[in-house]
Amino acid sequence: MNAKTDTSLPAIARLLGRLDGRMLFWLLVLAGVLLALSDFAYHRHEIFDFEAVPLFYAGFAAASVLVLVLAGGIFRALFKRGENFYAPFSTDSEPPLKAQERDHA
Amino acid sequence: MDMSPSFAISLAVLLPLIGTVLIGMSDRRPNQREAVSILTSIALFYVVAGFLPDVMSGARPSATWFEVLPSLSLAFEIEPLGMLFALVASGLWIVTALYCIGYMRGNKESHQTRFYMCFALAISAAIGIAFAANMFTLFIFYEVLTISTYPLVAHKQNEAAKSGARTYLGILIGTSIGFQLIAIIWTWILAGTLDFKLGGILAGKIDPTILPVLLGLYAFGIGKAALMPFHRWLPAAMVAPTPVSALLHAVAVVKAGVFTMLKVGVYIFGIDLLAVTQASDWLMWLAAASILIASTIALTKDNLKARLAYSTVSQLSYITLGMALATSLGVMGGAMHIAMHAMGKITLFMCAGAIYVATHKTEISDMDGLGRIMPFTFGAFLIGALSIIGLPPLGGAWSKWYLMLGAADAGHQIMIVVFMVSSLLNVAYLLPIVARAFFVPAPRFASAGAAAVPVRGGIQEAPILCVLPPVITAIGCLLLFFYAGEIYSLIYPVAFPDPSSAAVQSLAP
Amino acid sequence: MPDIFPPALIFIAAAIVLPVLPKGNLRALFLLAVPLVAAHEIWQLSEGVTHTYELLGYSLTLMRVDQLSIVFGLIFSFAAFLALLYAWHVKDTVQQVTTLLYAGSAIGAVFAGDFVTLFIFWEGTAVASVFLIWARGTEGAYYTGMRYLIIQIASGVILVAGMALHYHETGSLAFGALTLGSLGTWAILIAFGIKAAFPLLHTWLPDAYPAATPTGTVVLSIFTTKLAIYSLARSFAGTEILIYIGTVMVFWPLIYAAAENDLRRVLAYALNNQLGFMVIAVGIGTPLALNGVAAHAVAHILYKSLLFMAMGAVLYRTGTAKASGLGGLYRSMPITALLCIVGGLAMSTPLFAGFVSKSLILSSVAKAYEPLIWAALLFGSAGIFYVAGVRLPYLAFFGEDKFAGAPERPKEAPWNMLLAMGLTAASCFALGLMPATFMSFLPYDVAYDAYTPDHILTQLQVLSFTAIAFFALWRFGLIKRPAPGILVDSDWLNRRLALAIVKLGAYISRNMWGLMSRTATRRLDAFLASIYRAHGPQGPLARSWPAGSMVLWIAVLLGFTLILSFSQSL
Repeated sequence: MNAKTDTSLPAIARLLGRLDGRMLFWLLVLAGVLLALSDFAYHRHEIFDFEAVPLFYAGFAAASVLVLVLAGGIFRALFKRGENFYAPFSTDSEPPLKAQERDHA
Repeated sequence: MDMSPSFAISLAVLLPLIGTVLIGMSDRRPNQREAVSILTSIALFYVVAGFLPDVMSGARPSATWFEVLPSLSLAFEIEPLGMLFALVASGLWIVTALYCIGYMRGNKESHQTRFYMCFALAISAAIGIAFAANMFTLFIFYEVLTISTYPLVAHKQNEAAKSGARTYLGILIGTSIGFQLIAIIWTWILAGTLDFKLGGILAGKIDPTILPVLLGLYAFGIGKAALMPFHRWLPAAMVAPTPVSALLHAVAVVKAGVFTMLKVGVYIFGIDLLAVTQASDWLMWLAAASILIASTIALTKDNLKARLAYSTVSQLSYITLGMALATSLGVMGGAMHIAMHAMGKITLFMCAGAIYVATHKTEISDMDGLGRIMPFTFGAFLIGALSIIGLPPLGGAWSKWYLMLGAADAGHQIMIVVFMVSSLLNVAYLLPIVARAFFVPAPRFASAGAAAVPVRGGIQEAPILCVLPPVITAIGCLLLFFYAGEIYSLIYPVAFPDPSSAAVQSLAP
Repeated sequence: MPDIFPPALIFIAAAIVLPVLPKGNLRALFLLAVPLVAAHEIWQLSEGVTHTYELLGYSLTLMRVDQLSIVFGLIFSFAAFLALLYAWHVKDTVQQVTTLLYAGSAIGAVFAGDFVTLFIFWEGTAVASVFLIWARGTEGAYYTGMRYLIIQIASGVILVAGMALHYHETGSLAFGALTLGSLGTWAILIAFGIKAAFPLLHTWLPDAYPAATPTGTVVLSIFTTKLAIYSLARSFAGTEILIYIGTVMVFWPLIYAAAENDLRRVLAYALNNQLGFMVIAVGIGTPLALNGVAAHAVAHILYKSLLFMAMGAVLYRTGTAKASGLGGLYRSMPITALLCIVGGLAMSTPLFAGFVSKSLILSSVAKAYEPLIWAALLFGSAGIFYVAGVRLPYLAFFGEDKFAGAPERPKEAPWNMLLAMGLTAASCFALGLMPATFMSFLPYDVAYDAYTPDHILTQLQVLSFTAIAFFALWRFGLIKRPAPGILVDSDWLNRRLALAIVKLGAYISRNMWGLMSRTATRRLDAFLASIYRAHGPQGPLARSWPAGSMVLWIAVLLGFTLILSFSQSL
């Protein structure tokens, strides 16, 4: 069921449901473009030379995410093991906490 | 006390003997017998503690019983190390006397009168060792201690007990006669005396190159110090009832060993002589190895008492190492460790006994979830364990601190690493017992899915007299942290002797 | 001022009293009152040294009050209050007592004026905190707790060894600035470094924090690591090597955080990354940088608690905090979702505390003219927002609805959790809104304005493009919901490789020992038997081996003694 219109959900949830779609993305893109354009309208006081490059911050951030995603992918490929790799010496492969255990904890 | 010092010393040595006789006379009346045992322990502690103000103010009360040969007599003199050892042994005897009642009755042990008699006899010997004025007297009481504890080790009289007791007696008598006696006779021939003298009696009288050999005869001859490879008697002695393991094999007997070790280092050889000649370097390495190997073996033991026994082997070598560092702070750390380890380890043993009385469990792997039904016992165990590990605010922290400072002073930084690794090994073999008992569900609860839910009103502790004593000593561990300064000032004149008394000058080529 | 009761002792006294109070609201109220009373005490402190005491001839200081210790004392107390409110529903006495002891130890360490006092509380934090892991009550939690405890105590024993060497060398036990050089100071740095999760010494952090109870992890995330940062700032400010160590800390954990499935472990790695920011600033060591350290510690404690609280609430309501088993939770836990998003924004968005503190650190690095380090920090800022501000809320609360077919949807978090999260979010907001007040608490009097148009614009660009990149890559399928599984970190070396080596060594030595002792026993038996054949009558002496041979040996040795004494007298 569409969360935006599901009246059984609380109002906040319906609001969040609106964000969970394309709208948030395009809002972000809009904000990003405006902010990026500000680089041309507003002159920053740089400390380092490379800061002066237009769209430096925007590009650096996007590149950082890309690098992280790629590095994370490589790490997953290299270092990922089953959840029971360290069993029984870690909690990773243990079943989800039962309700009563959660209440105790 | 208006007693003359010499009378008071004789009284201290003889009091437990009188107790032995009285206990023997009240064979058929258990209440009377145990009352005698407790009253004797209190009286002894009173007499021993009476010496403390004098000794702290520099007096050295002494008494001579009789002369065997010219310059060789059965004599006593109370100096700080002996004061400390006597206080520890007699003070903890009170707690153990209480504990014995809970344990022996709770377990319905047989031959209890013999047990209490031998116990008192052993304490008498320990006091004799503590107050001995010379190596000869010390040796006599050392052997009395071995023999009086033999029936305690063999108490259960089954095959295992007999075999354990045989190993016990064999190693202790064998090493003491095979090595220690030779060392004593050799010392007598060299120095013409066996009296304990601050700064030592050997300086200038022995070729420094054979000094390590003589030291070796002592080190291995003092089998009670459980220096590897002569440590096997200690795990073997664990067949004894737990009060014996607690007071004798964590406090009186083993501490008599390391106490003798310190006495030999400080009063026969002299710390300065050892430092100058480096005669004790090899002993330091052997003690370090003993610390680490015994700890590692302790890791592999599932039987609780066996694990504690190997832990004791390891901790005793701390004291030997402190002496072998041949620095003032090393001696200070070693002496302090006598008290700190005694308080911690007796707590652990009494807890082990309480667990046995309440549940008849001896194997650590069977103790999962027990903490929830025996919270006081395991709480006391935790505190004792943390003290052994050397964590503040518990007594064990200070002795480790001084041992580390001593190692730094001696220029043996590597020994600091040994202490560090040993601490971590202590964590690894002591804390799982507590953690599993409190937090890993017992098998029978696990299937019900109620793992982490405590059983309501499910506390089933051992009898109060089994639980109270370890709780008292656990609190003692805490108090020792704050009152360690008293021990420090007591030992100070021994660890930092007046420079004028240093006999090393005579050694200069 | 001596009439002030040391705040650490307030916590410890309360921990002793607590078990006798009846479980329920009274006890919970008492618990909440403790950190507030302590915070009130700290608030009233004036700078100076009080509560000096003598222990074994050392003159020790329980309360060394200056602006640095006040900041950390206040935030520790306040965060303890929030964590205890979050744990209002917990009935477990063990966790309540150890939380108090843990907070008290951390605050005691912060006010310690000498290394002995520091060591006491240092180990206090180690021992008290492990119970929050063990309290989970499973086999895995027990083992994880043991690993954690051994590493934490290792930090303590390395500290005490360093202290001993340092004392031996300088005769001083003052907990103040040190110059790296001697063995002792290096040991102290490593001791701090273990708790500060330096690279390769860090594995306890992502190992242990996800294993604790839902409420326990919140408490854990507050104290240990920030205490280490405080100690570094106190003793090693301006130590250059910290800049490089911190830089590795910014990168390495971030990659794990970007790839990890367990969301509480993601936060643990993210925490490690943020510690890198602080370690770098300590390495820079200028007044501006040290202000940044203190400010960032405050902001970081708040927003990281908020995120851990949100994930704790998810764990509490659903039984898991793994991304592979979550998704679409905003439908049933909308307030938690919202607060989690706020927590993510609080890390670096203008109007929140994290923006102010991060700007401080970045500016201090820029002022010290370290372009590469500065770029690394910028990467870290973008990266941390990606992993903890965007990816984490998205994986937990959005995307595919994993609870659509469930018989019962998870409920919204209980009121006390929501209230605690709300208060935490509000504090982040308040500090961000009032930067001047925030600054007035910091140790040094340095003028700094975080809210320049430059800072705001560049930071908003970084944040928006980080988010855009995430959503774009998600759409292209380059970022996916992770499949179940763990990532092996460098602790594989000790958990697998070293263990295998130890086992092999044990096997070899056991067999060697057995072989040697069997051979030796056989030889000895043969030797003794031959002696008996030659000399011993088949009498009582020979019947029982130990007793008989012992007497024989004694005779031999006594003879030897005689010869010895004879030769000496000649």
